[in-house]
Amino acid sequence: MADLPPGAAELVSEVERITALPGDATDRVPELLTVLHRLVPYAGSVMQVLNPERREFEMLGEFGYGEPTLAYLRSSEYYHEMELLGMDRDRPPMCLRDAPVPPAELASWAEHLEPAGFREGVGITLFTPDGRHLGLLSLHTDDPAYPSDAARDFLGMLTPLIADAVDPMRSLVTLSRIVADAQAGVVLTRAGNVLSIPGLPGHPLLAIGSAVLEVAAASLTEGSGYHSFLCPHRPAGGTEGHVRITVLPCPTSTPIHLLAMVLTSPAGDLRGLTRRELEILGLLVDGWSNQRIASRLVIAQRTVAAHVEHILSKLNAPSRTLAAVRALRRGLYVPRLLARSDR
Amino acid sequence: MRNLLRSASGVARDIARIAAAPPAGEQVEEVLSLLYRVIPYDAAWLGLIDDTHQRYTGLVNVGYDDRTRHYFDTRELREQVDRCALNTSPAPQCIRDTSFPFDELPVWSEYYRPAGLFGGMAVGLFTRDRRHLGMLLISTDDWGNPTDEARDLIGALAPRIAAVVDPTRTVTELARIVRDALGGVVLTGGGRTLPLCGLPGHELLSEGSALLGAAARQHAQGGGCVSFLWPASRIDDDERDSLDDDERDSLVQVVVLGCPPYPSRLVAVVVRPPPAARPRLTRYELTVLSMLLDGWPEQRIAGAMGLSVYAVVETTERIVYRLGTRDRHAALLRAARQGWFIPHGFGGTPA
Repeated sequence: MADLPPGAAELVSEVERITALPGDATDRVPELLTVLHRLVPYAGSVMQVLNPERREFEMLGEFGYGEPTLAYLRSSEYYHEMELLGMDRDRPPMCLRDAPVPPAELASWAEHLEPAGFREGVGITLFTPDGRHLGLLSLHTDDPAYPSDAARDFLGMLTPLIADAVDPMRSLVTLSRIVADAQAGVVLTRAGNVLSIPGLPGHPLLAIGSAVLEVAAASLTEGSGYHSFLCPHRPAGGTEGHVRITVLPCPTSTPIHLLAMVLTSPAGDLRGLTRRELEILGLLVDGWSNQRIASRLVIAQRTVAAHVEHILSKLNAPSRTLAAVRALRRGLYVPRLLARSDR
Repeated sequence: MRNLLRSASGVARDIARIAAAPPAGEQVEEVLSLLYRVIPYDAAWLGLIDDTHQRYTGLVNVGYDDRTRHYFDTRELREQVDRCALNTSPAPQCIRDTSFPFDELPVWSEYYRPAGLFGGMAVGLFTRDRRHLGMLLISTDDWGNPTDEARDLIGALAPRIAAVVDPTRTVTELARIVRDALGGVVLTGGGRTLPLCGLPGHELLSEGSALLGAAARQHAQGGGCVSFLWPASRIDDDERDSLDDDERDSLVQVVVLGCPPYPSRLVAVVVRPPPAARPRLTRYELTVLSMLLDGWPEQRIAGAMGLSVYAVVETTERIVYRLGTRDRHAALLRAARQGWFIPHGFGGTPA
């Protein structure tokens, strides 16, 4: 038996643990490479992530190479070579001996790795479960007997885990489950750009520069948790209603340039609050007086007072302050910037 | 063997796909059906250990009869798991691997064998920080099946399966939205605490602590996410006179995050407070603020704090001034949004 390497289950557990570590992928990679040394006694190892715009690999971590070799591994020639080998596709790990072309025809091998003393190696292409190309992990040995076929095939079993460890979006996908009925979502970057979340569609309310994203970014300066509020919305072909917006700051396990995840979900139980009442709650939450609300909405103060009375009874609150506090915590309000009367 | 390893790699990929997909409610069923590609089993069961570690609760059952399935939920099974050390070691075991005569295992002699399930294996499931999470049981009608290889492959897949069924994974990421965390715990509906993977605990967050009681009460009132201040050290009675001290250094910020998929679960995280951002408010003023936020009339606050109504009115005015708002309503909303208050206990200050 025992084509399975010794301690296989333990190795998987270790890699699983590393995948779950907080911090940037660059923090996880050195640990990952250390653990993989137990499987493949490599003399050189390099983790590279794809820069899809430049069609080059960027280094996340490396060990055991000289500067000229590293320069080549970063070059677009190297990426092109990997494309020719089919290493830009989701495929099982490939050793040098499995390559479809003789090693002598590979510039990386003939001009860099072999002269540096390497004799074998394995390339592991990293893809997300939804098919995004993440990068390439390469392990090079100085003994042609390693990695063994068994170690190579076992790496295939580890590949989805290794991909998780370097996928900047992975922990966002996990976190998005907090909003169990999320229908759409985006990631907001610190620069104000919008990225998509794997597995979730975008939403017209969540476009770059939209009022919802402006409110979302502003909410992050308050407290340290997540925030939820309502936004009026008429879906295509549907009737006027509200969607719930949830703003989750990006966890510490994502790259620092990601600011927050903004998700939409059904509005849920609005306790019979009308659109106008939800907008007035938005002003109450901002600490506004009835007088200020009246002049803003161009209605009489006694009309505001009547709205507030309805709000108190619907939220079962003894005062306007308490109604506002409850609305704030339950996300039962439309922020001022999103009110229809403001647009 | 080679083929088995290859197919296990395929299974690992498929499990990753299941783990990354939005939860559809049948993830665990899918995972168990994938394992059929490694071991053509006759029955399989996956259960999670409960909070008290007394027994398992089945998540999915394929092929075991009702009598056996109910037996899996008993303390007796839990004791047999202990005896085989499956709750402390991630090593998978076939029935033939037990270190004692396997006839001594009632689950084998009274349940498996009479049902014609002569072969089988079990593997403990563990969280990423190595806490026991649950059990995977697989049975076949053949003593020699699963083979040692297949057993080891299931053992190697087990951490991935655990990651799919681990309910604290989402909660762990949720805790990480809080920057500068000093420590945190998960608070279950039963008032017990669970550690968070990758975040240390904190002395203020021990089971039954006043802080966790306040966290649960705050959450019950508002749901969602609540933030408040809490004394980093105990208040001694003889220090209570110094009501005017600037307390900014002796308070920590607490963030309580509701976990919607599990309404009974909360995450409480203690955060290093951002130093200068908060206005100068005393511990006393911050406690009065929490009473005002609970809608207490001045009379009641005066009674609870042992002060005159006049003193409470004066305090309220000072709070409004210090928060720099135009009126009391705006001051309270500002305090609620920023988490600038100390939850009062049952009528007194937290101690």
